[in-house]
Amino acid sequence: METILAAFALILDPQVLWVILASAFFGMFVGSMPGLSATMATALLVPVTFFMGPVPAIAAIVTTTAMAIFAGDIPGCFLRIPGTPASAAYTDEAYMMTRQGKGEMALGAALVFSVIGGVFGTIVLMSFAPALADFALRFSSFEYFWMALLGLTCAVIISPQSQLKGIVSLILGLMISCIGIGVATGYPRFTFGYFELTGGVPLIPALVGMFAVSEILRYVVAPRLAAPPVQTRLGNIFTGQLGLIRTYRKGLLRGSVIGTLIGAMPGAGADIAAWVSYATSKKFSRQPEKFGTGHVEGIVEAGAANNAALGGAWIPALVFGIPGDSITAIAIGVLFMKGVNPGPTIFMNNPELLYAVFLSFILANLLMLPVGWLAIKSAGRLLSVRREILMPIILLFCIVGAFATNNTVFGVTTMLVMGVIAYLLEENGFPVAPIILGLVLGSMVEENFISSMQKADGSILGFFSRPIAGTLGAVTVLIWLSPLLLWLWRRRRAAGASA
Amino acid sequence: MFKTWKSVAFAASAMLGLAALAGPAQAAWPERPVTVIVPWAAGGGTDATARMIAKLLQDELKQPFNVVNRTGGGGVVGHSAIAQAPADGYTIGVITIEIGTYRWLGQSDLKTSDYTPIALYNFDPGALFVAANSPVKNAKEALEALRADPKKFKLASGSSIGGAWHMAFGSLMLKAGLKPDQYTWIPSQGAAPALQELVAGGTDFAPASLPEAKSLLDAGKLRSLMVFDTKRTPGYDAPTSMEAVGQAVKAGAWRGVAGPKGMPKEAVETLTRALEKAHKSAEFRDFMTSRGFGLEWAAGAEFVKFMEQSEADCGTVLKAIGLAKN
Amino acid sequence: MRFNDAVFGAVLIAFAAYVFIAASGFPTAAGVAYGPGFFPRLLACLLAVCGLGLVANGLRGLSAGGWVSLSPALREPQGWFGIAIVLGALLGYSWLDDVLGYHLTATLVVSGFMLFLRVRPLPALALGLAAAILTYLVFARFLLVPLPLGPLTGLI
Repeated sequence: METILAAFALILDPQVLWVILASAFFGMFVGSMPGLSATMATALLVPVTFFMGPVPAIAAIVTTTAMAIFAGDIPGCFLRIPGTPASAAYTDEAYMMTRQGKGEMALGAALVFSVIGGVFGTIVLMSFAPALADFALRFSSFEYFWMALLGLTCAVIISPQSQLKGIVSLILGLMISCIGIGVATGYPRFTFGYFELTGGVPLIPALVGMFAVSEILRYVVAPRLAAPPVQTRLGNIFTGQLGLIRTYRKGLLRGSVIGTLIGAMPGAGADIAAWVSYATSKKFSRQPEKFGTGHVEGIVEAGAANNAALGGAWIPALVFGIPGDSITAIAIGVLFMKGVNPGPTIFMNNPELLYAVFLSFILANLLMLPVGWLAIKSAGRLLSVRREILMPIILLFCIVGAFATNNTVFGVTTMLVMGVIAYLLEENGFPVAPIILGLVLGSMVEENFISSMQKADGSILGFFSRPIAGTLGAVTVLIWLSPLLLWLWRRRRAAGASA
Repeated sequence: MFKTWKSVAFAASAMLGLAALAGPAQAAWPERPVTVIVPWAAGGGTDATARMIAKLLQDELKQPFNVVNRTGGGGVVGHSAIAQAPADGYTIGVITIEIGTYRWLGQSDLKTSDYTPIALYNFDPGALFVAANSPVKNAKEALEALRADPKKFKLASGSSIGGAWHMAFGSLMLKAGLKPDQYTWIPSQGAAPALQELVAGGTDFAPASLPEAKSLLDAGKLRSLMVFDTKRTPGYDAPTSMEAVGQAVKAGAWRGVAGPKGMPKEAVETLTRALEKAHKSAEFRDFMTSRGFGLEWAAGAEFVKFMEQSEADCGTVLKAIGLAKN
Repeated sequence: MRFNDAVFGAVLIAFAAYVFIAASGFPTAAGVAYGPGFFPRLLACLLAVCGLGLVANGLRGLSAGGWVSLSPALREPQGWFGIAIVLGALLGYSWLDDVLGYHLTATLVVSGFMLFLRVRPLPALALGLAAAILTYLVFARFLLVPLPLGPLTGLI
């Protein structure tokens, strides 16, 4: 109890509150800017936090990322440009809703369910961190390999039209992820002697290129056709949200749980959580045919999942100093700089810091309602500017964001190339989102496959020899075989009926 | 054609710039902000030390020293960016031990002579770890087990293939008469995932630095067997390799400041002096030791010699591991 | 620009062949069964199979479309000009930002694009300049992104 009070005192310090408020607005800004992601926001905060105490530094990171992951949905709804990779899974759906005049419902759901997911993740972090961290630490490359394959399966599940074209996009994404020097292979692949490419194709510029630049291209090609007036005047975004909670309570719970768990897995974060829960939402929905036509169900589940993942990622980070995602990887570094080592000693030596993390999360999530509302309102206002003025300015933000990823114009070039590729692909009915998924998961699949094969001395049985890996593997194989099994079963039934 | 475009634009801007700068005569370096390129990610160890150095240089030389992270390709991108920067003294960078490996691994042509080495400021020894439930109790047993049956164990490289910890473990093996290329090495993104894999039971031995393993050591999930250094690291109970297995080894990761080849002499001299002062300052020493970073110093010709030696050593170890391409 | 699926499939098969051949040249380290070439080659095979599927699809639906069809907007020069402007703006930015500095290049990109979209010259210039200065303040001053200053180096 005393530590909790001490933590309250730490958080309620005016300077810390000021940092949290400023970070909230910063996070909203970063998240809603195409080209700036939550991870990048954290990296950009490193020099700023360098001269802060540990509590305000951590509060700044926690608040910024929570806001950014939600805010990534805003440009997705209005412009079909996701603000962060964690929104990419359901951007089309949200945009479709706005086009149909249901913008306030889409944005309201994104906000409300982000808050619920975020609070859920925080509660799990507060109550079960040590146990879950122990579980997460049992994951080796075999388990990761199956997890990554399951993630790839999601791309096929959620492909709206042609599954074949969805698979092609996914493979192209995986191929792009092969570029550069891989950790497991150590050989510069497809770099054409260009040193920038040894680092691979950076995710954020690729994302911005594929969504934003291709959208701008569509606009300039046919200003009137490509951009029919999108709803920018919104009604009350909170209307009907209670009803949604009631209708989709199962999905909400599932999304929050999946999000937290995926967040807690070292190396997988909010991006993957959103994909997986959007896919499970479609798989278990009573109306899967409505997905991709402007249906709110997937936004509920995935919107909750990506925010829940943020809290989840702190579980292994705080307990063992093993980062749960790219954000906590930086946060651990920041703590380390302050002379604070995450791990069991933090529970003994700096418990107030621990509670400070928890309280910042809760405060940030509560603050998200008013600040998010404000962000949605002002975004609607800003975006009602004429498109011929809006588009050039969006292009400039994309350029700066792509540049800031690795502080080089190589990001801008990447964005350009990816934009052209995505434009061509989309014109021909290939979905773009699976490319992003392939890019996110590509190295995870390959590296874990290679290390697993090496550990198992080339025996495929190794992939099933551990209890968790075996289960995950069986599930994956079953999902893959399910269309075939279903087909066989139907045929047998038909044969039985005719006999 | 693009070239001409660029040169026209350059000429135009140069004129603009000249008109603006024509006033005062050439002042002493640095007369404007200096960029410090870091080849590793924000929040990491190299980044942390670089930011501290940048701050101290800024205090001393009264110009901003801006840290810029250029990550990717196991450091190739950032190291290349330093080497290819204009050699006017306004772009410098932090280079790390990996610079000596790229040529051997066939990842890049970078070598010592592509840089103006300024000063070495840090050395962190590697250390060897096992999971807490491992039957191996100490370093002696570890080496005996490894010698007895090379195919039985999976070793973590602790970094990417041919990274600092991989080589550190490799050089200890060489000293102890083991053949590193007989073992199966499991690569990872870095120390944290390698240690996680070790705890999860995916590998049997993993090299990393002691501070990187601190959290898991405190949690009782890991045991440190020895540190690859000639002296113990304060705050940890790992014996030196000499104490543990009778082999004096000093292997790990180092960091230093360098600029592109052909930096102006005046800038090099001023920078070396400022760096030396920073390195001696109580603020820097406190920072480094309290975070578990080891202090080391070598400047100018001495640092060049150190880098050349390091590059040669990397070649020896990488050949022994079976990774060197040439 | 819409291609028949068969055209796209054929392009993908050719691309897969290139990847496969290039990846076959990657060296393998001693004692490593699955080297750098394994994953790209596996992907190339999968892509080729998908490509065949697309070719089959495309040939079935050939009567409906023809090999290539241009979207209506691309039948007019305006559409192509638009694409050229966007690509030009991005390429121009990546070549010029070092020499001209961020402020000038960003203004050029934004104002130029606005002019193409038929915003009147004065507002276009003013908005471009304002956007450049504002983004510079936010990103370079506050977030410390090292946007190049070009000729302004040392002046601000």
